[in-house]
Amino acid sequence: MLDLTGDILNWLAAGVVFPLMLLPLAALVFSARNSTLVATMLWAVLTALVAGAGVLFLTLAPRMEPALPGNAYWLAGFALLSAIIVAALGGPAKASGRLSVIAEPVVRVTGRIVMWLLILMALVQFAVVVLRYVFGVNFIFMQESITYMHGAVFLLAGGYALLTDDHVRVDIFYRGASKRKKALVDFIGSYLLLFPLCLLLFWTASPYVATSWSVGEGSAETSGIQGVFILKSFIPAYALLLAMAGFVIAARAGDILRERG
Amino acid sequence: MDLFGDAGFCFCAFAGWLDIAMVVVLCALLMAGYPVAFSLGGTALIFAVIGLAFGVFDISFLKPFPQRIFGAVSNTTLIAVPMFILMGVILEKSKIAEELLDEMAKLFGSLRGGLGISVTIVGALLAASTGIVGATVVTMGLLSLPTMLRRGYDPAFASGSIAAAGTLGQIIPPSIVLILLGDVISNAYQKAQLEQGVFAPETVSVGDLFAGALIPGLMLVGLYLLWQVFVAVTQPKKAPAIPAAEMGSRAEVWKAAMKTLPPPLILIIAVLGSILAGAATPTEAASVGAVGALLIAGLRLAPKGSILAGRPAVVTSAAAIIGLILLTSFLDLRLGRESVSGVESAGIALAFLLFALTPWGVIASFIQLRREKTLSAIVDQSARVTTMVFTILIGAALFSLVFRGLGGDDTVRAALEATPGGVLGAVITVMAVMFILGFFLDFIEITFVVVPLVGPPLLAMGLDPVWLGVMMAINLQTSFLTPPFGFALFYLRGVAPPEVKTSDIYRGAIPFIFIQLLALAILSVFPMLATWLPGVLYQ
Repeated sequence: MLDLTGDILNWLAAGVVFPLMLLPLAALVFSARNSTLVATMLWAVLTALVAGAGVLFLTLAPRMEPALPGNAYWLAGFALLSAIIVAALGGPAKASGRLSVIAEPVVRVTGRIVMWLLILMALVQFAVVVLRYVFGVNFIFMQESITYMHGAVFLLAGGYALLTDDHVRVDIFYRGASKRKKALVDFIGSYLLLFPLCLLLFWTASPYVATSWSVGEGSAETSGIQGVFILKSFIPAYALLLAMAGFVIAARAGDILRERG
Repeated sequence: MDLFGDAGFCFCAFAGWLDIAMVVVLCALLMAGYPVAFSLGGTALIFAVIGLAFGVFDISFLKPFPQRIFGAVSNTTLIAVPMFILMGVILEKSKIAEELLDEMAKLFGSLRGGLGISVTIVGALLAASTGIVGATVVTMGLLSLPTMLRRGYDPAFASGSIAAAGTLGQIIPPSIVLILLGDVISNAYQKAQLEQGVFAPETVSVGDLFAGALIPGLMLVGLYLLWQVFVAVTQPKKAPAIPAAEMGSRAEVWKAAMKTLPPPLILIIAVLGSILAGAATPTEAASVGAVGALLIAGLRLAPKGSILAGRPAVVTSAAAIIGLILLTSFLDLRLGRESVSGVESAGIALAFLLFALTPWGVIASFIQLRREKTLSAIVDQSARVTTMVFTILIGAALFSLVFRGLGGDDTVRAALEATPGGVLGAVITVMAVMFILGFFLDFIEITFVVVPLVGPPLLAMGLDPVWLGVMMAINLQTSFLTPPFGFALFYLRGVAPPEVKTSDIYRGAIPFIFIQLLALAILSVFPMLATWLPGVLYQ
């Protein structure tokens, strides 16, 4: 499984996450006039073009590591899978709506669950303080568990905060803008800024996480928590949750943009 | 690899400017209003791709990105941030700030300018306990501003006082800016020393910065108060007194104040004291602060009648914690020693009992907050603010990696070294740039993006890192007040009654911006104000 971890992350990113990310864009570009089949095919062509451009670029770029895609057959398989998903869900427009109905609660529930770790973290840290300063006892696993909770809260609630619009904006123009303009900013921002960032996170995190998994990386201390590889896996999870939240927002913004014209 | 081959020569001149173009494009993109964290990261990525195409960017600069993120996870100092946020949100949502404000207004209201003074003092108290600007400004804007207007205060003066008092949370420790700055500055300091060939570098801790910022922070409070007294004396119409007849008897006011003031004051002294005394790390103190805030909230909300989940439980827990502190300071309670005297064993047994009692009050407080339906709101808001802060850190990490990869480091260093006036000129330039950026950006972005770039060259010039950190903190605090995008002004606008014009709020902030600049000037003439206390405490 060991070397596979990194590859699977890459294939999932390149074959499923990435093509699905393009759905709201495709829905906007290919209007509802096209039949489901035609729209799905157009979407597949768009995906192939964008992905091809990306692969071409990365092949041209020097010293790229890890190479994308990990394995062309697997990649093609995943891409076909995502095309079938899209066709089954009724073309890009319907698929983006339906997928965001699935994605939104996943991101929200994750955020609403991990947020409680914040309180637990404060209580455990308090217990550590008392044990250490009063009784002179240190439990490394307690101290380390705080790091795990800290990482879980801010990485796994990242997508949730995007949905609740808690990430700070410079809102001089945004605040007073019309609903449509706001949707445009969110839509373009998702494709220009957020999704590339998520893909970069996947791409750079996969060898990092894979190395950690392959050695089953644990704590430097024998009595610590032997799960650093899980903690590091929160990074691709963060990217995935952000991408899902961005997808929901892009789909919603796309709907607003499609209302007229 | 250069995609444009021989034809690319004309791009090469442009390619050398990519680092600067990146900053310019970032500013333009930010104005569109997409979340800052992703604008930072996304812009960096776009320029990384352009740089790759022009052959001026090495893709290996992107590889440490996940390590940087993991660094933010495993950094034990940064864990203080979510806990201080939690503490602040508890104090805000449980309406402790409201009570404080009420009492202070009664204490000072009968003086001329008294309401303004009470706002500043409460701002300072809240700053010392939590330091979340938004929460403080919103609370005071909702409670004090209508009162002040009703009593005939000038709208500009009243709103300026509130906005300025709210920003004190940024400078009076423990503050989140100082934690973030401390982390960034200590990295910059080590880098500066390594480059000068010092291989056993000295360090700066967040504790140093806390100690360094305490006196300048109090000085700012003093300057605000002086200004308010000055206005009240010279222009009495702007800050009238409340007739004493309406205030109720002095004795009653003092009695009420004696009930509401002590718990937050004890909390402040405990948290700040333990950090400054070097006894606890900020993270440890923050957890004590969060538990303390929880108990205070529980005490405030608990009904008198209920014994199991009411005030007795909370009071018992608080007393147990204080008992533990006292016991520890008189007896050696450490377990696992060779010889333990009889008194000490009794002490250990008592300490165990006290420790076992603390969860009671904590659970009771949870029950009270849950009944008021605020518990999940508190946790929810804290988690969202936490992830917002750290997501900016992640975006800024990518931005600075790419900026370095494009040679931005050298550009900044060259620009600073070319500044006329030597070290002083460089400091003034950096301060001016941060001040101007503060008109547009939030303190978190400036801390994570600008400070890592300018820090090493400035510190290599021999500046004191604590002094520089405090100067930067005051500068960043000012960014909350500068129109048009000062966050304190935004927050206040959001809650101010419609008869207060936006221009009033902006006008009111201006004198306080000048006070901030005055404070920066005083601090550069007397660096001792920042460096003396850390020197004494951590000798």
